[in-house]
Amino acid sequence: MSQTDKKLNAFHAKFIPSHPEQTSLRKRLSPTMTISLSKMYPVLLLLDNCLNNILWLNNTHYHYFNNVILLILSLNFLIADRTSQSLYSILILWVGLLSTELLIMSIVYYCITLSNDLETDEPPTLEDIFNLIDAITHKLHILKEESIVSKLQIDSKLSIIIIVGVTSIIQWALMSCIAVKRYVISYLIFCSIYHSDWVQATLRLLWRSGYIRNVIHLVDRFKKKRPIKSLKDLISIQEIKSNESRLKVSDLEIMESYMDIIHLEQTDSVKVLELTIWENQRKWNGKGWFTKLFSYERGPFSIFDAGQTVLDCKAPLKFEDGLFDGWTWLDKKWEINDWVYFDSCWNLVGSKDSLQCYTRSRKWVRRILQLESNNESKKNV
Amino acid sequence: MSSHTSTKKSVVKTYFAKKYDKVLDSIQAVEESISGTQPSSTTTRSTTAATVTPISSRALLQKVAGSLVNASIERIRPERDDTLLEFSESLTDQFESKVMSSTFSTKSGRDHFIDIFLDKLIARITPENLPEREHFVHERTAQPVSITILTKNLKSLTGQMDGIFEVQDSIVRLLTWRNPSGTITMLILFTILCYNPMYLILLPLFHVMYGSMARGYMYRHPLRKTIYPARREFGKSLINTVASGGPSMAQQPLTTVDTAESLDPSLTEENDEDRNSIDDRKSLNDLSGSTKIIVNLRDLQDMTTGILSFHKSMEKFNLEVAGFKDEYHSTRLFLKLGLIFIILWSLSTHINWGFLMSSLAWSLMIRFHPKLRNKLSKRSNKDETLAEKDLNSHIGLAPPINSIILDEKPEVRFIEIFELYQRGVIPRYWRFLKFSNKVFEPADQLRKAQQQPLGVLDITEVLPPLRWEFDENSNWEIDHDVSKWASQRGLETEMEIEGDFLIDPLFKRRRLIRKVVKYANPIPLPAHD
Repeated sequence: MSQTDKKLNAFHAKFIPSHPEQTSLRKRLSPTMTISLSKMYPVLLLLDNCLNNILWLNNTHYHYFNNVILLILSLNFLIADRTSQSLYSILILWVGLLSTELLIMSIVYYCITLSNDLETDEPPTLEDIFNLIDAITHKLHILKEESIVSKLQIDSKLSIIIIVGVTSIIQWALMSCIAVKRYVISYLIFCSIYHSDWVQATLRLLWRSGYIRNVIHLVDRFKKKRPIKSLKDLISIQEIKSNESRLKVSDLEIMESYMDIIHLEQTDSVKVLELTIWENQRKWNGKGWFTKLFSYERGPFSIFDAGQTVLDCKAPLKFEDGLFDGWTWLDKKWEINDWVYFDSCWNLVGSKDSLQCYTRSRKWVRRILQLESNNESKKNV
Repeated sequence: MSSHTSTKKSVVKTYFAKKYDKVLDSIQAVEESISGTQPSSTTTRSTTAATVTPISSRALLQKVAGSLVNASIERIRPERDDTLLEFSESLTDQFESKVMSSTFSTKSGRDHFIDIFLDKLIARITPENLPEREHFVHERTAQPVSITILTKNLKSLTGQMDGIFEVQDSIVRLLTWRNPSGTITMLILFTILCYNPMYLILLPLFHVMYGSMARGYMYRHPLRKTIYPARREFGKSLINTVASGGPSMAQQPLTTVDTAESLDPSLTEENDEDRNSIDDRKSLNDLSGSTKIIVNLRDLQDMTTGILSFHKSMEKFNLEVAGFKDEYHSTRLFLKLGLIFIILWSLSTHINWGFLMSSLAWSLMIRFHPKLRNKLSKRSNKDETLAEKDLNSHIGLAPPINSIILDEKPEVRFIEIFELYQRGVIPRYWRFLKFSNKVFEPADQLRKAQQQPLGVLDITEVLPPLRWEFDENSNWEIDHDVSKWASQRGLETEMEIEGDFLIDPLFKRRRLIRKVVKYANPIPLPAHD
């Protein structure tokens, strides 16, 4: 009973309105601006309709499917081989001609009816124009979000070169196995259906497949550098990264009993280095966090080099025995920090697990030191 | 227990007696007849099954009608609603009166009255503009719901359902190898059809010519090939012995088959595969008209139950598998179907579809032969238990080694709440009032009515919108851009901005915003629950 009461009395916050009225902007508009906007209205309507056709909005799927078929037929006609004189090819040509005419006529018909409607209707209010502009910008936004270019990670010259290289190889392969005419037609079909909701949903579902991700990230997999296996490599990378700090032992806060164990004296001058290794995990199908990660992304343990690129490495505990050249562990053990959460592409989200988080990392830190002045003498002893 | 139910029954009866004493008489008459002949059976199915013992068709009718009435009393009892009571009571009464019109001829007048009464009642309780369905033509006279038409249609439908059930019977017989030569003919025809789809048009023509027209001609002008009935049949058919899937399951309840009728020339001309169905029809023809209705009603009931369960399973598939209830399995299914589609599409020109389809049909039909199926099912049971063991050993292993990952970005939106303060007695003193989801500007309805705004006193009591959840990594944050949210609501001219607050003479408020996230919409509930 009390639970239902609670449910009834529950107070839910409301969303921030997604399409707020820009009243202030409208009030500040100059008359010339208003007039020019209302003159632009038909153009805006045409643009909106174009976007609707690209995004498969505002009409049934049958309508757009028929349009695609008409497009194919008319393309077939426009780039047809007209030398053949068989009855069948003449029939195909005739159907192509018809569909080309139909396509052109439907566009012309739309324009004429649009202008007729505008003439007979009341002139558009500022509200109408602003709504239309909002709708157009929103649709352009969707176009931008869904486009392939926005999905490619172009962050350096190298990635541009790789993308151009890979796509030209694909293009070349396609051109060599299918005729130019077919290539053009299939490219246009692809363009005309790419933004439909069916294709977009299919792409998203395909993206859930690990196999497909592995294929798409094939380049990343080869770009991956060799994992760090020895403590020497680990130290050399972290030395470059951090500003070397030369300190007196007296400046360090070390327990004396531990100093005895690692043979240190207060007067020794040392080089101290903080080794940082990240442990990485991924959330799998709502089943929980596992160290199983994709082969193209960072491994279960990784470090950052000076250029902030990720390098895989062994587990921290496996580095314990590889001490060399007077390097000694300053801390007794690895200090493990809390998890930090990221989204699926390792972009930072926050310190708490939420629906947005699909990967997480935590730092393993341990300081290591190298004696400088008394190095030689100690070695001799 | 039985005394308890009988007292309840008597209470119901008295209620009935007060309202419809005449109806009660008939109910009681039927009930007495039931208790006299067969006290235990209540369902129609068991009564029809019990008709193997020779009893008159009238007794059968009384039993069926009586058990219907009994069932309806049982059904009505928990319901207190008077209209419903009257409705179902008169329905049963109507049915009963129709069936027994030969004995209680005086009822027909009252029957008519109840029809009119019910139609009026329905017309009164239904809204005037009922939602329309799609029709082939636009001009259509709207037909009101009428019990009279409905029962008339149902009655004539049940009378005419023979053909449909016959077709159903023969299809079942063909698929279960109970008519082996028929099954083989079907497969041969299917093979021909696969190699030349034109036969899809030719075969119906052939059926009309020889299935109906030649038959009709031969009935009117018998070929006079009188065959004398053999006393005993010698020898057996090879196909029947090897391939028969067992005798026909369809019961022929009545034993009074006239032997003279079997000598009818029109029937002896029939080939082997149709003989069973002819027998069925014959036995149905033997039943009196009203018994046939009951049998057909039972079959109709079975059919509707079947349709409903099929619909239920379809709905389950639509809601759960196709509705991504289990995202992982649905995604796998989608990708699998896509893969099959692409493979078949790319191979379609290189496949001999006629051969593939026909061989698939032959192998499937042979695979599902009752004799073979039993042997195969024993083997597959063994395999299944092994597979289950395999599966169980895999479940519970920690890292899910699979190819599907669900890491879609959740939907992100922002919610707002207004922290309201009321002006105190001393100037410059503001008293905290509430966290509300309204700005509570002077034009607010509640404020005009001099009431408090809806809201809570503690920010922790504010919940996210239904089916959304707060992002754990975000907290309520004060929106410092007051002029923006004020102008979006058209309030910046009416009120002053001071720091993070928007102030009017009585109240001031600031906006707090927070991120909320949602992974997916819940799947819709099934329509019938």
